[in-house]
Amino acid sequence: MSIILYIAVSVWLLWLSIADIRKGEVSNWLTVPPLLLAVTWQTVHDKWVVAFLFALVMLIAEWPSSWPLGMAGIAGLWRYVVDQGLEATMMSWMIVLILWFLNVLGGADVKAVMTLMVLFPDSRLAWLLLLSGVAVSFFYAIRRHGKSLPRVLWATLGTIHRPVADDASGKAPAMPVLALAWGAYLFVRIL
Amino acid sequence: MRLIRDRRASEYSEVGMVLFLVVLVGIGAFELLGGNVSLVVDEVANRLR
Repeated sequence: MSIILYIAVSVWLLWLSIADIRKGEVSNWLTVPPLLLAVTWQTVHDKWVVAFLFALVMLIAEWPSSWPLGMAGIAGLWRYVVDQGLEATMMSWMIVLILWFLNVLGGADVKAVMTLMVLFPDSRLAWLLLLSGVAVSFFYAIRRHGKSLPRVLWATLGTIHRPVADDASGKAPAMPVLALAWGAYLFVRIL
Repeated sequence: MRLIRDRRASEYSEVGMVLFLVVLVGIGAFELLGGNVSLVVDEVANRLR
């Protein structure tokens, strides 16, 4: 079963990466059904808290002003999150949701990360996603700014709390980040 | 459902990089200091008893 799942996820991420590189967006048919399937799968396999976390994430995403309620709900579920080994899933969902609010990540990226992290609630995968994000962002940024990158990053740090404008320059495909992290994760698991 | 409908699949690399680094440093600091902080809290709690 796990081999089939690994192959399916690899093909899926490759498909997402190609679509992202070509068009800068990914059809919802490629991201929403896998996410719903993954959440349903874990919910019926003794990780029922995933369904509640998913509902809370959707609540916060739809009505951002409800975030205190959402956070209170998540805090209330913390014990079950730990019991069911979903700490990495919950933390990564929160981080990508914040990045989505700040307009740093697109919705397709967020849904893809959520799917990966619910299928594989492993902190190693979360770390690899983070490291891969840094590596790919660094690659794009150094290609665009060269030696002036430190100055650009310093200037960016001052505006980090504000959402990025939709028409801002510096847009780059994000799905390859996921594919890279997934490749590294498979390598780690096989080792 | 804004998140469900959102098809964008791009990142803003400069902001992404700064945020990723901030998160990385934050998590790293927590991992490094988390145990020590909890030891200090336990010690203070014990002294107060």
